[in-house]
Amino acid sequence: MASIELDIWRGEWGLASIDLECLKVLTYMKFIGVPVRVREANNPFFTPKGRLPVMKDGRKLLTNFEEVVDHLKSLHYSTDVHLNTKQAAEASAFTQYLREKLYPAYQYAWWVDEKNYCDLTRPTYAKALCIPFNFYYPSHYQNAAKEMIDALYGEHTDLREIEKTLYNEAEKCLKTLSDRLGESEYFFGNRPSSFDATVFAYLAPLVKAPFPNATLANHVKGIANLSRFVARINQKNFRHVTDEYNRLNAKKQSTGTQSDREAANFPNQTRNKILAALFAAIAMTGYAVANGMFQRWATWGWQRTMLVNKFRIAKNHYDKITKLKAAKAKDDSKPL
Amino acid sequence: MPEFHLTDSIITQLNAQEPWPDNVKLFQPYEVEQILLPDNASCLAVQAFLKMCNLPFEVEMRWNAEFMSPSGRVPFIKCGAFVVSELEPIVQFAANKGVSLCGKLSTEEKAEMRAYMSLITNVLVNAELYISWVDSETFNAVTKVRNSSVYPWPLGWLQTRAKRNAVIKRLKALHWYEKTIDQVLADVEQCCNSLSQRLGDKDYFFGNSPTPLDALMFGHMRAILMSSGARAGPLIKRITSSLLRHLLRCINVTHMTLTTQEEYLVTQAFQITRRRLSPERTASERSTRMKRSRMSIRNASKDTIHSNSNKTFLVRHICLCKVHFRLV
Repeated sequence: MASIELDIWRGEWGLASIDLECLKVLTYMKFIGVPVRVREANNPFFTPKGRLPVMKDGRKLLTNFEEVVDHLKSLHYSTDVHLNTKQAAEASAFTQYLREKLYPAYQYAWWVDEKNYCDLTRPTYAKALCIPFNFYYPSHYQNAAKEMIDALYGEHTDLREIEKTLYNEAEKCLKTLSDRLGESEYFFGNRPSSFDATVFAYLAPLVKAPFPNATLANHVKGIANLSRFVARINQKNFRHVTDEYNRLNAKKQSTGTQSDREAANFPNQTRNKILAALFAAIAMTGYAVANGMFQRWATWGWQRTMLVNKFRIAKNHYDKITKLKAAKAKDDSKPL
Repeated sequence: MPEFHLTDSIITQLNAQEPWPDNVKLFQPYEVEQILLPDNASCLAVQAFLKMCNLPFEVEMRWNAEFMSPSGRVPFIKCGAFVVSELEPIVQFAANKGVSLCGKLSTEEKAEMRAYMSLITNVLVNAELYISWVDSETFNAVTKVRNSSVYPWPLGWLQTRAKRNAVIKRLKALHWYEKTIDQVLADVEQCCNSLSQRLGDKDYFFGNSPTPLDALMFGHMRAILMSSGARAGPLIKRITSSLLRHLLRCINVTHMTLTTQEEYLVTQAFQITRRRLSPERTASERSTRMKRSRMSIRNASKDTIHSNSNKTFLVRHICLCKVHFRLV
């Protein structure tokens, strides 16, 4: 079997990825334990649908969770074999339930809430993306999310009213999930299924990300068994990510000299200096040109150049003729 | 906000004091000439729910029911001083009055019920919207005609356009617009399979009594059986026998009557089940059936092209149903 590659958004705050869909796929693959090469591509520009994650298996390109699950099933990798038909039906029903009730609230908290968007979402995505794309993608995603909220809750005009309804629905949904989970380790039996991956992907970013406006996140954190569920799956499957994050954090806070800490606060200092100098030089040259400071360039013209050239050619000609004349005069004088 | 909770609780209290009045009216669009598949499903679901609760109500048909409704969606009920629209708020409203169908359920069962209800609203409703507004055949043959039938000429055209744009916007937001008709039908099939697996051999989804989930399921199944247009056949094909049995059970409970079209379809379907399950069927019989079925499919597709009269709908339905009722 050709090795599977997975392009995702990068992680942050001890999460393996900041994006819901990427995290879903990644968690599912961790559950199965399929060998996969994860690449933090962070750029959806070259993907077929303009969205991450993208899974590559040989020539096949898959772009969403359902396709990935189906494909892996065809390779005899699946976590849902221990479910009976009734449980499978229930899992699909609950997946749709999350999609209907929690997904709009999730999108609202990430993209539509102005404070969260400015302070958290936009910087995070802009940091992940490279330069021309970071001006485009965050606002593109925000528009998509806004359009979704508008299409679903268009009858309310006040954004605060929408927020309230959304978060109420989401709270009810979380309560229902918590009732369904109870004290068991996973939702179906004692082994993880694809539904567990979905729930984890929804809840983990809400628990981990430091939202400035944390209404929805607080709902999740307030439900004990759900936050324990998230912590458990994180511990089992993404321990290395969390450990690394904690180590980096600890390093940043305690060790290191003053200059190190400063360097950590302002990364890429030299590069920024060079860029600033370059920018200043270009600006000044532009100003000089615009003011006509380079007179010779300003008076340059084709006709003038042609004229000068004509003179030069004429002068060369004249020199040649005088030289020939002198030589002829010499020749003439010799035999005499 | 604190003020909101205050008014909310006042309404709830006021609500609980009054018993269910006798003059409750349910408003919906005209059933014969105007109503569309998704609206019909939700209207039938609410009617079934109220009948299951034994709450008296009167159906009132208005051409502008959609614009009278507080949420912009049909149906809605007028109960004393309150106007409530759509199934879920109505269920909540009835529960505040002390009438509830899910009183006996445990919390887990309630969670499951909510999940299945959103499976239906997410998959079936979106599929119905897709088929009636995005699929061009059904849109031109059925939706456009029915939706603009109640308006004078230029207004009907404008209103249909505006509504289509709104529906397309919604489907785009939910990533349904990118799907093809085959993907939509596959989703419907998967949804129906899930539901019939949950139902199994039982009469109702939970225990021995109906729940709001049963009402919703019933509404959608019946609306699909009553639907017309080029995609009605493929949609009906997705209904499984246990869902059909559930439909009949709900019909008995609510004392509703089937239309001739539905009755015919249902009896045909059950005859096929019996024939298919009977042990004395031979291989040759099966092969002749196959041949005939292929022919009838071809006829059906011809019908789609040539005419759209009501009679041919029925003929086509019967053909398709005979062939394709996927009966467990």
